[in-house]
Amino acid sequence: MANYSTNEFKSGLKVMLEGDPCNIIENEFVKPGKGQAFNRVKLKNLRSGRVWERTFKSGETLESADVMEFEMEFLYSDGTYWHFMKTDGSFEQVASDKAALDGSEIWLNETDRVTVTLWNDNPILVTPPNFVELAVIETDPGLKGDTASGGSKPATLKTGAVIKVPLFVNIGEVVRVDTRTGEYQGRVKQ
Amino acid sequence: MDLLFRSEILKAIRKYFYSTSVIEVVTPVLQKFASSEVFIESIEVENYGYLHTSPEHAMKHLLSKYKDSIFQICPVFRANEIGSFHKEEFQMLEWYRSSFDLTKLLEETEKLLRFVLKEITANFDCAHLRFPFQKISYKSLFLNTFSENPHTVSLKKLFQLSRGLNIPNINHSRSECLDFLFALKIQPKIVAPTFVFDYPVCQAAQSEISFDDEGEKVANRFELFIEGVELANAYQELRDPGELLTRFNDNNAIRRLHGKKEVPVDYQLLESLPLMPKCAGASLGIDRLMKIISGSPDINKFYDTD
Repeated sequence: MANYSTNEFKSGLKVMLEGDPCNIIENEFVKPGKGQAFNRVKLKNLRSGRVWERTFKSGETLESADVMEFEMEFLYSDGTYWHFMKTDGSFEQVASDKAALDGSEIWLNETDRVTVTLWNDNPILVTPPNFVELAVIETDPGLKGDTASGGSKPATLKTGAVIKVPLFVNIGEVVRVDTRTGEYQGRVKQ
Repeated sequence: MDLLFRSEILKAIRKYFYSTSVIEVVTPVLQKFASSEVFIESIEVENYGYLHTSPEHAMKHLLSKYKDSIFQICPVFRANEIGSFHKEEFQMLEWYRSSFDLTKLLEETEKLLRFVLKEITANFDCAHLRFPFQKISYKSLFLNTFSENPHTVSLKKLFQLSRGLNIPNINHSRSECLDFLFALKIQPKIVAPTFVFDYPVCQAAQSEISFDDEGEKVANRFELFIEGVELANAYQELRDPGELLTRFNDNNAIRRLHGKKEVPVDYQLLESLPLMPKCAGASLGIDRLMKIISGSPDINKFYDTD
């Protein structure tokens, strides 16, 4: 594996730190007066999602992490594993456990395209699209014509996610949701 | 466009010095001796020597012969310094004023910048470059932030103060602790243009030692900070070769402690020093000046050739 020196640190670089693959988010070179230079680095642990702040003496090195991101299509879940297929024409499939999904399984709609992060060829992170369109399978009956009262109610979507929707939304309708916040964005005309 | 912007700044600097009869000089970029500074790494050119990290030694040698004020604008090289304020090759203005004391040089530095800003036609918002610049001693800054006198504070106390800094865990000397504390806790707060003067003796580099108003030993030098960035660095130049040799040897001792290679002493400089007239000298980073004036986020941008 290649090593990267602090000189080569830049955002987006994938490195190993304390046994976990990390993505460098920020790298700041600090040279205090006539003193020893160092780098202040923010890294995102790609397994836990946690952001670490570390300092490295200039010249220190970190091992590169074999981390690749692929666009993949979500095929199905068998309850234990979620199965994805590369969209590059190779039809290569990977199976991810629940840990890598980290809660995002509630946004996975069959045939949707997601980003799968592989570390040493194993999925460690599945990032759903920022917006998904999902049908409502359960909610209280809608109030016809009420598009202005501003109230909301819970609705269960076909993937099992429960979100807040306006009162006028009915079962069977498709809604657009921001997966980063879980917020309702609007109805989708079929 | 950056090309024209740099050209205007260089033209203005030259106009200023030519109008005050300071001679422009050129000294070799390729030098026989590496920098003595512990944490400045020279770039070695195999079979030739080193690229200079500043034209200081060569210009002092010139001064010892020519005796009158000189300036130079040149590229300088420092290995492994890469960041939004750092580049391994950058452009430096360095000038020496024969017979000047540091107060006079400080006034000239401000005058020069005022002149440069007036000369450039590029339309930047320079409200942050408020004149007159402020002046404060290193001691006052340190007292304000840490309630400790930097000249007398114990090393133990410095370690204590450094503990919360999130810095690499190494065996720091007094000077390094002061540097870390200054760079991380004080420097970012110096937003308006400010001259900081009377540095700790352990950071004298090649400046003279003198006494401040309270009779405390200080290094007779100043730095100019703008928006948390060091723009210029100036010394009342040391002319005692014995004292400089001691400092070079001290630097080598610290290099050894850090497992670095020792740097041979530049004996040519030591021989020139007694012939050098009393003078004050300053250096100023031109890329940083461009960054500060234009508000650009990164000095590397000025070297884009696209």
